[in-house]
Amino acid sequence: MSGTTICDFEYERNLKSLLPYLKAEQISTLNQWSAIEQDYNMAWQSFEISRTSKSTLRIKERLDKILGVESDLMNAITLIFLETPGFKQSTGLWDAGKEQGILRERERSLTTIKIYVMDRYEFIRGNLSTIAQALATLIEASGAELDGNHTALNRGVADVEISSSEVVDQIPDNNALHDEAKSTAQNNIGTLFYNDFIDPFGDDIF
Amino acid sequence: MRLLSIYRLKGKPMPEKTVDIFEYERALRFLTRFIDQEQFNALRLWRFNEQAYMAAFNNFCSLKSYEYTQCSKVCAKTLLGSERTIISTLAAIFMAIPNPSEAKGMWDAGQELAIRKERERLFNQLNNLISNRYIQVRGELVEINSTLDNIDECKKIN
Repeated sequence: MSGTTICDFEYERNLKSLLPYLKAEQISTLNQWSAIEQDYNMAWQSFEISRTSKSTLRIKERLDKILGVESDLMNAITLIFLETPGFKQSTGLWDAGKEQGILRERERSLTTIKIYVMDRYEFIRGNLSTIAQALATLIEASGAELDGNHTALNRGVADVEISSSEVVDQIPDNNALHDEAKSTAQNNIGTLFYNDFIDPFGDDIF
Repeated sequence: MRLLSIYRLKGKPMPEKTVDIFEYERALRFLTRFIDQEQFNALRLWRFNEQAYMAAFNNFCSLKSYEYTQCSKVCAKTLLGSERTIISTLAAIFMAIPNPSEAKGMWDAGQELAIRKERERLFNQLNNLISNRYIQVRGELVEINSTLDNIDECKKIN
């Protein structure tokens, strides 16, 4: 998967087809994860463009957040699967396989969601060391700035790094605003999507 | 088969072996009808612990920082701590499975026989998943502990 993601609502589409069967707190868990993931993506994109102190700290914060909710999300998916009746149990029904088709579709949607989530976490973990390195550089630079006991050479390097980051720091201010706006916009689109879009392959088919 | 089509849709290279990502849940779901609530909760809790451990261990694999190492050690200990409970639960479930061959004479077109066979098969699958996982976790714990020792030594030197 490349660094830039094309938002094709794969997660939302599958979540939407499951909505009628889920409990309120399950829906909010899955929705929240989607928002957290979009926040992470925004932060990652601006971090990739310019590794300033601001964008590094932001990516670290969002990274911790998204990794923190991983097991909760997996548990929620497990529970949803356990609550979905198996389609083998409905083989005896005389409804031309309608019920079976619906159950099969539910299981397929959930499988797609889980694969999507696993994919995302794989991508996020692939970037862990990059972020850790950037963070270490940042801490080193700020440490050199704080105590003057370092050698002149070291300080020289650190000074250059800080000044260059200060120069680039002018952009992230704009970037941050842009970033926030973009992420709220995407969240909004995501919410709109459930409400308004009629999925031709969704539950309307049944 | 369903997994196959998903991979084709995403234009990704196929994995060598198609794995069922809900293997544990599928087995547990089938057995739900035959086991009591307490046993079901124990098996569900085990899966939660396992998923927490898996998340922590994957983080540890990507980045061997102190935080991630410590976290995966805690999760591994939780998982290993529940081993006795889960083994005795499995034993109790196994004892309750009726022998498939006893259902041979029934006049129900082999339905009861098929259900009992399926029950035994899925129980075995569950049992295998759990015991293999414990073997794996023990091996991984050695690695986690040695990394933790290394980090501690580095801290002492500094």
